[in-house]
Amino acid sequence: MEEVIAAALASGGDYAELFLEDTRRNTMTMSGGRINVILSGCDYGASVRILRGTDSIYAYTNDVSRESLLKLAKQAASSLGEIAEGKQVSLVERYNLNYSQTLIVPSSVSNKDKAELVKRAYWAAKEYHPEVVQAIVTYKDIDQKITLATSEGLYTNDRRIYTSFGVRSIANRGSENQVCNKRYEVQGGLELFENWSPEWIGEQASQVAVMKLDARPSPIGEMPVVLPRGTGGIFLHEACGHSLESSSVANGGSVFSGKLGSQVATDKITIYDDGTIPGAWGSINVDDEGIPSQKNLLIENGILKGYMIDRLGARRMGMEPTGSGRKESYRFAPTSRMTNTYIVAGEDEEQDIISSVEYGLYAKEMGGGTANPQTSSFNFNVQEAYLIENGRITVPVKGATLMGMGVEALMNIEMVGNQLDFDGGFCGASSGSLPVSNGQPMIKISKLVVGGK
Amino acid sequence: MEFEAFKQFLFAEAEANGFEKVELYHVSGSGILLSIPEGEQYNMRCGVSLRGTVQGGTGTAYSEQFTEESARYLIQTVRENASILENDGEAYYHDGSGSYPELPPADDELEDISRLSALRDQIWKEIESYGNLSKTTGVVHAVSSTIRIVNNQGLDVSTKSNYVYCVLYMVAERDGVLKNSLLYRGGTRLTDIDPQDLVGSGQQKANGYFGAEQVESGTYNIVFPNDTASLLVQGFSVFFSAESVLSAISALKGKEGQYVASSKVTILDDPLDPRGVFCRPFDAEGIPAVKRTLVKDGVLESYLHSSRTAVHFEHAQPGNHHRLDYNYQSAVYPSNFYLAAGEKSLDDLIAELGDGLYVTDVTAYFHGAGINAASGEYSIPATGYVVRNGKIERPFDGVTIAGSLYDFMKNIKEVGSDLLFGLPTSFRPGAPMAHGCYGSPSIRVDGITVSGK
Repeated sequence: MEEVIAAALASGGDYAELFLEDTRRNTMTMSGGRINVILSGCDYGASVRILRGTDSIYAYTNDVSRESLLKLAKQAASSLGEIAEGKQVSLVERYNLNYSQTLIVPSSVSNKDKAELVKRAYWAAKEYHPEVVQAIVTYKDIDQKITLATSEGLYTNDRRIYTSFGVRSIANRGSENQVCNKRYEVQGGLELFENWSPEWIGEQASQVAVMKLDARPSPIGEMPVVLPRGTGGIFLHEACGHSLESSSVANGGSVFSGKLGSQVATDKITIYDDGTIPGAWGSINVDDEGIPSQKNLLIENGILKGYMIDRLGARRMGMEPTGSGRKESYRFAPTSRMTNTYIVAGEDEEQDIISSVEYGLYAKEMGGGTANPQTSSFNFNVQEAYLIENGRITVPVKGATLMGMGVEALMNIEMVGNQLDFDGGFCGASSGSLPVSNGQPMIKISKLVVGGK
Repeated sequence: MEFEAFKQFLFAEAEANGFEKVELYHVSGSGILLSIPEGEQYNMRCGVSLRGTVQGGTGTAYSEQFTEESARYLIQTVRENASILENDGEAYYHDGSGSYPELPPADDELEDISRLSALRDQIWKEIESYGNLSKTTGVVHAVSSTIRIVNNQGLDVSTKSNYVYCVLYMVAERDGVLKNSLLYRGGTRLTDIDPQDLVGSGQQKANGYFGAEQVESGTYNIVFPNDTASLLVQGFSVFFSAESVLSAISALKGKEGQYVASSKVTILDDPLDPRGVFCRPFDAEGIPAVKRTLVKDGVLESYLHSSRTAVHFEHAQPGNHHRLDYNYQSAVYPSNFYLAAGEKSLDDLIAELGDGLYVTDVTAYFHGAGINAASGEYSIPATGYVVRNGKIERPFDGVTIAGSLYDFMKNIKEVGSDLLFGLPTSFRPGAPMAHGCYGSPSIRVDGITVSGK
């Protein structure tokens, strides 16, 4: 390994990194009454990355023999410039603090047993109500083993295990289909099902899908919106999370570029990105650039205090990296990404938040969303929503979407609840799909544009 | 281990383990990803997926390691998955019969990093020449793949396919305000990308959006230019999969021979169309490629089929079973899926629109998040121009267009002559590639719900 890194540095690169990966994955899907997809496989490869100032070269291969890696390193180095003398590198091993544990490792459980769990959820969802016409259950486990060596002399191993389980129920009445997705995940293994039974997950998904058939169309226009604790967290992720990643900030392209010290949210808002929360879905022991995980203050009482910064971002911005350099696999170059991103709990009682709204939307659970870090515009589908009328949650509504500008929305957060919950998921961006969690207390945004049909 | 030796070992192990049928889907290839303005990545990749039938059941697994241990992992995993999966009927293994079309040879220039670098640098030079576009980013991505499918029933076919695309996330700046637009071009030859044309169109869009305001909520007739339209065509392509029809997800079930779109709409899927990048002489089952007319003048003629779905429908032929790569699920997917061109120019469409909207961007980071395949509903942010009396009046943004894609197909009132194929990507950096390539001419669609003010 030392040889490969030395070869990588031979053309004037000032930092090089070798990343090796051996990952097992299983994804199992049931729909139409049968388990009809099982995707199992072994991802196995290596990548070499070289930085010189703010120039970067990244290369990966599936052939991890010594010859192949040396060749890859030399090829990558020659892209940067003339090959001169190889540098000497001497590696010292570090064993990282682990923030998560796995009680039931997925690779020690047969796919047959996993299939039983999937079937239980499926039948519970499908038989919940006659109007449920389809249920799709997806089970997923990832067991990623990595080895990382850097020209700073670091050699470390890490293992990340994730298990995720979701049910999508489709209810139908006449020509109308309504859908609900419920997903639960742990950074760990099949102990997930000791927290949430497959039957309960299936029934939840169907219950909401059927309820939406009776829901009236969402009102549209600008109005106050209340997001619940936990599942509302995607708002934070889309409205400002991506805008605080150095990959957007560094070239001046984020709304938060150059704004350290300014007020960017109401003074009720304090936000952290913390990769060290024990047992949390988005926690990491070490990032994919060899930097140990950290708790990073992003916004304090509305004032911008920091960003999530990877090595390249650190060079571009003249700041320190924050343990935020992540990537899905050896096939991607690492970049600044979120881990567990949350708004600190505030002072308002949840009941008071609801009763403060005369007419607005309670966006209980979101579907997918997107954001544009350069303008902070965001939008997402609201999967489950209710009207708030005269301070009470009244009837369900369907087809709502929320859109707005993150910078405006943050300045319009009037109330922040006093209890915090997290919600996890997979976030896709330039360095691939990653497990992240978003934490939020209940919040009231004084106005957002609600779209719909 | 070399592939031939690995294959022999694997086939022998399979037979020894009681496999009746065995098939390998092998991909090797390379890729070059150049970021705009700077940054380089390249890769070599090699992997294999094993499909096997044992005791009447069929399973798959993939691996990126070509060792005896890996072969045993594949055999063991496929065996276990085969005993769990409950697919109806015998799995089909093609014997190599049928006539395989000739495709033009793959363009070698797309494997030459210096040619691609020169293209990237040219594009950046064009961008810099406009003065206010320096925050623009993007990628030039060239992929080369050699796909080989070989089984123990007589199939042994292979093909080499190269493509390139460029995506630009244009950012125009004026007085501290930023405006975004998405541009793309792609094809199977390096010459398919013209830097002047690409950047010129992009800056025209982004610079045209300054001063944009919202429009009143309401129902509008909308003209979509070809690049925006093809993103929406991608949205409704999923309705045509016979798998979606069989599992009651698609509302096109039972509608063969009926009007499912306006009489101006003809939709085809053609794996041999050289304008699209998803060109193959055979599908993932090794069945010779076939051009299929799905909708003719508004009437549904056919779904997309694999051997598994074709048995459930009269007169159905397989040939649409595809997979993105060895580590992705194979299923019924489009290849080059497009709305056939009509006769009018884009200018005609706008002139004849009278009063309505001309939507030129459906969010700079669109990746299908605003489209719900199960319900057919879409809700996506839109940017463009207000059209009054057939003339472009002023730019707008901050609105959402929403509705049902089924209604969308029925409300396509005019189809232009300027067919443009999209790209095998969902545009979100890091997200998996789209399954297939989607094309459309500029179109006019009436009666779309717009949520704005």
